[in-house]
Amino acid sequence: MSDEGKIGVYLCACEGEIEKVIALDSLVREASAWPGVTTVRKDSSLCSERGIRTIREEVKKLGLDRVLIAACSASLKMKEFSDLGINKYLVERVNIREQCSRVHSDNPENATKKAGAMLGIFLEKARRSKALEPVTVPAVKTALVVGGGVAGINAALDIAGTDAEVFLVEKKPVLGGNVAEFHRYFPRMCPPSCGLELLLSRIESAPRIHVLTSSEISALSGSPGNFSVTIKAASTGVTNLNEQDRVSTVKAGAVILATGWEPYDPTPLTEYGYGRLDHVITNVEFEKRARERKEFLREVRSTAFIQCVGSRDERHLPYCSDVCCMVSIKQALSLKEADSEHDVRIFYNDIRTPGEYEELYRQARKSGITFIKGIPSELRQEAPGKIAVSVFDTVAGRRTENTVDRVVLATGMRSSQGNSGLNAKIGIVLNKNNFIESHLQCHPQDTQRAGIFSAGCCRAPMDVSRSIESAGSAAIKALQFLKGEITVSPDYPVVNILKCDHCKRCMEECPFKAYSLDEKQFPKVDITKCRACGICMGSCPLGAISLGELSIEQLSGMLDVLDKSYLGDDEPVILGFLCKNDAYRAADDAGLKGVSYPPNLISIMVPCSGAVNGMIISEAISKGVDGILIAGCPDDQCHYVQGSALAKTRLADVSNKLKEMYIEPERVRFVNISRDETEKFAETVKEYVAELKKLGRNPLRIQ
Amino acid sequence: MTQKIPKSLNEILTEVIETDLLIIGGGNSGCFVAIEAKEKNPNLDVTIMEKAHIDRSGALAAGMDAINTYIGEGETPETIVAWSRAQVGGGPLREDLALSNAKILNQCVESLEKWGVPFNKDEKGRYKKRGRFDVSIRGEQLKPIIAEKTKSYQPRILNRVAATNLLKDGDRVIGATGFGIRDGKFYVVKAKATVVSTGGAAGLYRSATNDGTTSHHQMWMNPFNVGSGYAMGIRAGAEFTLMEQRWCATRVKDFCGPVDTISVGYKAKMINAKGELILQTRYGHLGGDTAPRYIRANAPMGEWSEGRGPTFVDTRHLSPDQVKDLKIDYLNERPTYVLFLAARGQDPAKEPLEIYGSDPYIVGGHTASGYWVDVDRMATLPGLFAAGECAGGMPNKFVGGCAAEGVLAARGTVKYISGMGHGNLDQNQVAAEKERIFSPLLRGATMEAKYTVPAGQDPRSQYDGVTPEEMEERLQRLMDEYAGGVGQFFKCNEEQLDYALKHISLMKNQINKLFATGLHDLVLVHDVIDRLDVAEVVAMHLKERKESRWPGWQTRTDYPEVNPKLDCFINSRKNLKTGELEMLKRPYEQVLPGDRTKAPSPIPLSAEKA
Amino acid sequence: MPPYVVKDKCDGCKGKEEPLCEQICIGDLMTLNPDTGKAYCRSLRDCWDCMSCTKICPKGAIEQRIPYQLGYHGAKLIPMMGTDSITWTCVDINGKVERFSFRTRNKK
Repeated sequence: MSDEGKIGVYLCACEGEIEKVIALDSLVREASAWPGVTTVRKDSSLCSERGIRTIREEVKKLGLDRVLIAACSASLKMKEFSDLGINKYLVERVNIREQCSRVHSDNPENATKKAGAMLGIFLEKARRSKALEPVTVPAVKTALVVGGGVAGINAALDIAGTDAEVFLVEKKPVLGGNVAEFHRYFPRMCPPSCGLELLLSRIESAPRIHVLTSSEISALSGSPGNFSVTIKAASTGVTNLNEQDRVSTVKAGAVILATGWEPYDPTPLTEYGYGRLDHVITNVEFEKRARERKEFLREVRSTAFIQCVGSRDERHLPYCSDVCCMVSIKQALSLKEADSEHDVRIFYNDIRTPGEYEELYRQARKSGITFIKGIPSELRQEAPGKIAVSVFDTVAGRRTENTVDRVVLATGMRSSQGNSGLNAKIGIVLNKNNFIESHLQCHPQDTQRAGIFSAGCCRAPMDVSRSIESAGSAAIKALQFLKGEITVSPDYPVVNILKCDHCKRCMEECPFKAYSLDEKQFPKVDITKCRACGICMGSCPLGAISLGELSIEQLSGMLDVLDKSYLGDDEPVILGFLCKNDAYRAADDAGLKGVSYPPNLISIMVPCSGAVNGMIISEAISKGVDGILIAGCPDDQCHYVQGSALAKTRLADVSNKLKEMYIEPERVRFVNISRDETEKFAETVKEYVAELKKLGRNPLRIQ
Repeated sequence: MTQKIPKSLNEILTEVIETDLLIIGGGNSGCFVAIEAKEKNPNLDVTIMEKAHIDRSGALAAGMDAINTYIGEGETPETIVAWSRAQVGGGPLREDLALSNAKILNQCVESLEKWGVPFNKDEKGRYKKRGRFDVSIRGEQLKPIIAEKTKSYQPRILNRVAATNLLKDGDRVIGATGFGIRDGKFYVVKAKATVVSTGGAAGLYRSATNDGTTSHHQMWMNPFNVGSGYAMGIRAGAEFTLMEQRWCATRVKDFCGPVDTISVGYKAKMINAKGELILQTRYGHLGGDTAPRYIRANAPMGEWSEGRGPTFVDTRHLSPDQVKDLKIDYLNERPTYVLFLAARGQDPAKEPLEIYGSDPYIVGGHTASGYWVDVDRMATLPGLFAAGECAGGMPNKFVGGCAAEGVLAARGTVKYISGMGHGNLDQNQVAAEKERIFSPLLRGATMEAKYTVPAGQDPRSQYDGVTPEEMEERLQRLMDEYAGGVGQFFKCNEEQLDYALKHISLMKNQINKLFATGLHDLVLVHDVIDRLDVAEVVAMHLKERKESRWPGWQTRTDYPEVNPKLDCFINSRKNLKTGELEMLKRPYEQVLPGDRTKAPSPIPLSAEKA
Repeated sequence: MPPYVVKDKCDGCKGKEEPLCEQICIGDLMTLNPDTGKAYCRSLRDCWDCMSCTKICPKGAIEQRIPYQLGYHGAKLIPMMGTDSITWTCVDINGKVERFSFRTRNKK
């Protein structure tokens, strides 16, 4: 036990709630005798204004260099305890409420013993804490937008509204993307050219937007705030630019990918005769022709729309492309607008017109458009200019034959070629449908690379208004990286190169590819890419990596100090490592949910279960801990992609070693706990304590 | 890693490095040289050339259970030197070197504790003594801790580079050459000063348990320390001393591991098959338990040769706790001794532990063999320094003393380097060395398979050449039989030594038949070449000392008594013009007064400490 | 004294250029077989049993065995590394199990 320090230990009675269970006075007496402790006191409410003020005064008056707050969980009252007049990394929170008084209220004596043991180990952690300050990295105030369609243009304009520069790169010779060639927008049935013209003139007049058409991204390197992008201009054949002149490099702080979509080609669906039969066209072709020629809408007198062509189909596009129902209704209404007698029939599986789009559907019905619930099995050329559509009408319950002049196949959106190219060139992860992978629910605009965002249909099929919205949200996210500097919290890992053996496990296991090698071949972390999950700390076979706020030395010290018989000689002691995103919070909920578990477990919060190093687990067993419990998110929901899976492997290695050493391999255990699985957590602990009681105390306990 | 074997010298890349201080050998003393040199002058460009990996290389690979030289309460630098002198029967030894070492010894040992090595402490918080100058440590991490400290000064560390020869400009040593064991490169390191700290020479003699299966390297010393540092100096014409004073130690039998742990640490006495206390019974007149070290080395062999074996250290009085502590000591130095006992189902408390003599080693950390150096640890060639087991003249250094040697050598080099420029590199010398290093490998790459390979045999048997293992085994048996190996109870005579020298010469003429089929093999080739050079010097020294001053370490059956005229250093130096080894004598200078064979008892605590 | 690599446990350090045992071996004996992707000892007879490889292997795939010349079959000596301590388990040929734990580094 290092005896350095002038530590202030503060125990909160939590307005009596904690003190009802835990005998705080006895803890005060105990802690006063510990080395390095300058003052110990209990308080009725540490988080109150008075409580905070008292701590602040004592920090100053007594020259305290560490503060221990034994109270509620660290995820609560963070604002209150962040301003104690001492660097926040020198403040240690000990969770004697959610993980002690609330769950062990049935046995105050044991709860007090556990609280004492908790204080002991977190005091040791505090002794080894270092003051840390956030790091500021200079960053470039330029954004790169890839793709000049609706999403890209809006993103560029949103960013240029601030003082950042924007490079807008578009591979075609003109901006506008797919909608530039379209006839109408829904639901307002207005021409795209109206909105687009306005946008394009704003782009032109914006001094900080640089448009590069006929250009593509060929490479991207660097990190958030400091990307280096290589842009290649296509050879136009007209201007004789040589190879070098065509390539330029741009520095960007953030990148927004808006590479859009392409229509799905229905040729493989031979039953619809696309390319074989006359007058069978796609919805995109309808738009283009309607825009090119006014007469197009009147050229024929009857049109059938077939929905979901190649969509929601495992053999083609397995997903729904979101817009096709509205597109067909819009196109049908255009036909009716041109000629109210035009015979329009829409063959569908489901009509998807959510929200206020329902209004357009009603309008379509009222205008005499026929909706038939059934997807035609095949089309036949009945006569020149006449196509027979045979369908089983599922509502009417019988087969109908329809003869029409033209069939419009409502095909879906697929990921553009540009997207696959991106994956290859700059390592953007695509999902199984080849769209850019993102956490659709919580972080729809993020990609797996920090500082690179997605907007519009390159992420998923969507309509124009959603594309514009997504462009806006991507722009807001991008702005975090366009302030001219990036501030990084000092939680990132530090590699002790005196111990490093160049095995590169840290580089390999980092889910965010945040490591590279320096000139001496030692791993170096890019702190702007790093998410401080600690998987690297868990991976190092030599224990050479530590996180800013949790180090190997701290953990080793805590193992030394832990009283391995704090509940008496017969009771096993379990050390838990709970991941902060799911398991620790699930455990915190136990008290409120009226769930309890035995006091044999003391938990340490880790950013990810993958951060737990195998050597620390081995050391814990060596030092006499009876059981180790690691709890992480469910494997496929791990917030850091692979932490739980890695933790299981690490534990398995330790377990195998224990077996060879004739120590029960059951003394280490992993459990998946998701945020709301409090009951499962409690059951696991109960079961584990019972099992360990049967196994007996750790044979290494007395050495 | 599949290596590309070069077919010509041109294919081999040369890497030239210019540095201020080159340290050959990154073991205990080598690391201390680097640390002290950087402490004295942080701007010094320091390069360490290390054959293995600095984290574990050298004699400390598995750890250490004790520091055998620490001046505790009641002792002074003078008393430890006097004790060391008595341990070698009164010398001769270089008392000037020993005193300079003893004066800084404690701070070197204490720095180990500062860096995190756990030292056992007594109730008063002082280092717990297990012998007069021995303190117990838990040194399993000793080498990694020293390596980390070294790395913190950021010297240039060339791991997996085997040093092959010194570079010379006239008489001055201006650096060294080597080859990369992984990258296959030719390394030329120019240095203003060069320290040789390659440890001692093991594997000159056959080990007692050498067999045709898996126990070839069953020896006390690190078998990868082959004496390359000595060999390079021999070839460069440096002067060596007391190379006849081999370290032949009593070790636990078969396993060939340390025995001081038991005998000193747990006061276990040497007994023979009949249970007689050997040292008291037969060597009482020489001090019994406190008889000089070479007596203790010889004692079990004496019993065996006279038919009173086996011999043991009697551990039957140990309590279970003491047995456990004993095993923990071994786990910190040679962990597999515990496995050895387990593999025989042996309990030290029930059966005494067998002991036997070891094969002889040349190791200047235990005896006084090595380079002839001055007080600055500079050898007889300017620019060349020796540290640790390479430095001769001072016995009983052990780990602590070798660390202090490193510090002293560093100070010597820093003094020498100031104001000094680099020497001139002779490109012919460099080219010749490149050829010498790599020709066995090129030979191996271009040899034709001449023979069929007998079943279960090494595929190298296809080639008409000599493998390094063959030559090594031949040398080891030769030395064992003719130069006083353990198989001959350490005894030899003039005729045997001449025979040994003749056959060493025959083998040296056949070095050009050695071939290597890969870089690892090339290491073995140079290992055996270096061993031949060292063995030759050892045999010459044994021949020259026509007496038996330290029986066991050096026993001449034709001159069994001590000859007072030979109370001096026997030194050697290769004449670079004739190629002959010249033998010379240097006088012994007594600095500390008093009876050389007695070690004054510790001064009572009330007396002043020096 | 020979180190034996248990092939089901060795993962060749995931195919990085030099597995950890090869990096640390004091005698340049441990190396990777590129065909099997697993480590092995080039020359069992040349090992000095410092056990650096056994200690450093992250999968615990290396077993130190004693030559039959010295001791009989079936005894085991297994190190378990902590960051500042080590626990050894020793099993003798009669099945008796002994364990030894001690500190190897003092923290500041």
